[in-house]
Amino acid sequence: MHISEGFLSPQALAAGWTITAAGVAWGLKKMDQEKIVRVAMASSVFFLASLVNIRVGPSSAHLALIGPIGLILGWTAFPAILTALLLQAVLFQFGGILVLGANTTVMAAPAVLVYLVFGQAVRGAGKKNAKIAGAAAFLAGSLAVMASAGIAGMFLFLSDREMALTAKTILAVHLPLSIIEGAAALFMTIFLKRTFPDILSGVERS
Amino acid sequence: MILSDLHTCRDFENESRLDALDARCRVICAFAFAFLLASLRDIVSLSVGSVLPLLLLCVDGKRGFTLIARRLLSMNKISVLVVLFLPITYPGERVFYLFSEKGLFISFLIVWKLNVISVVLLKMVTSMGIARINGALEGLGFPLKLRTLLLLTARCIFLLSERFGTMCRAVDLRMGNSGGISGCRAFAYMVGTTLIHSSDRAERTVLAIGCRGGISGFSGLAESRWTWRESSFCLLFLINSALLILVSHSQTGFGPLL
Repeated sequence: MHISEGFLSPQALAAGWTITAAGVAWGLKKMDQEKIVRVAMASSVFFLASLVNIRVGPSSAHLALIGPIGLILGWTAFPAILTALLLQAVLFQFGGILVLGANTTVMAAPAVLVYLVFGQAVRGAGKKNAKIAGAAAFLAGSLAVMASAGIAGMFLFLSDREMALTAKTILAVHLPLSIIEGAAALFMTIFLKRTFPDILSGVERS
Repeated sequence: MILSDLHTCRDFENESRLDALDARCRVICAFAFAFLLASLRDIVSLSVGSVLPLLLLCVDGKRGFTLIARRLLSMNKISVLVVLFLPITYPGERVFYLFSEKGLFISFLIVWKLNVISVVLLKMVTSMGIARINGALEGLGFPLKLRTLLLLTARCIFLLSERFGTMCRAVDLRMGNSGGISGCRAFAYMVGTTLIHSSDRAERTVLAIGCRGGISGFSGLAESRWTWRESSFCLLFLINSALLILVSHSQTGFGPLL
């Protein structure tokens, strides 16, 4: 999911940084100072989840957990994901520093999107409507990955119009991964709703 | 899994001759130059643009060179994918019935740019470590909340990685190398459990930090002084960038940013 250094044109880089700056500013404004440690925890989980591979058929994949992070953090996903990606770039050279703006947009924008669309359904559903919450969590996890791949493809297309087929291929490659991410989001949400429902209440100021 | 790498990543933060420079100067110069490098689209300009990264690569002698080379090697694993994937999906005349000629050239340029941009950013920004990056962000006027989040996340990562490592071992012992839906469920429960277990500890840690003077006190320790040395360094980068723009202009007929 990370776009590497060298791929994007200055225009695409600038677009990425602009969207990220706006998202981070809004996210920081909405963030409850008292709950900053919870944002840091979610950011760390995002960082660590991508270091663990799970076996998928003959291959293996690492999950990004964009959907669950979005459902937990809402708008604060922007600063949380920016921080995690900065640390990944600094410690492991995943992605890069110059493409940090684009990579943050690629992962944080879908997280905010699923929060706006599915957040209420996941948080609001009581024990009786666990199936609704589960379905919403699955869709959130799944669509977040597809949206993320779509935005990554758009950045490539913006850099070079002839990369249209490359962008479409990236989208197709992420289709099986989106189902796995959806399943992970479903199990994680069910688990958190049973054991730690408070964490799904968000970190934003009321 | 590379969780164990977390405990060795601090080796990268070594003494460098560049450490004498103000962190803000390093960040500004690195970003401006990397942005310019990203805009180059021909071999001659890239060759001229690679001179400064090569000098940076040699600035700390053999040890510094080895450290960066090792990092570049791991980063270039992605280059193999680029070289294989991009020419296949790129339009244009085919070589060996499969690879696009133009795609091969573009992927070659991308890999080259990946390496030179990475050298600049690894040497100038990444090697400073989290504390100095945080100091640079403070000097550049970034909001306190964001810097606090950066420091807390760095701290939480080390806290959670221990817990995460233990959980991974437990899952491996119980389930072996299980994949599919059960592997996915185990992973999701593991992440959830780690989050719950570490939540209380992290909140207590923040309270303890608050008792010791607060998180904002950390960055106050970072020195920031802008002297003639920083100004000369910026001027050197500026001259090099101007030269690069001229070369690129003579090659493509347009400014590199257009």
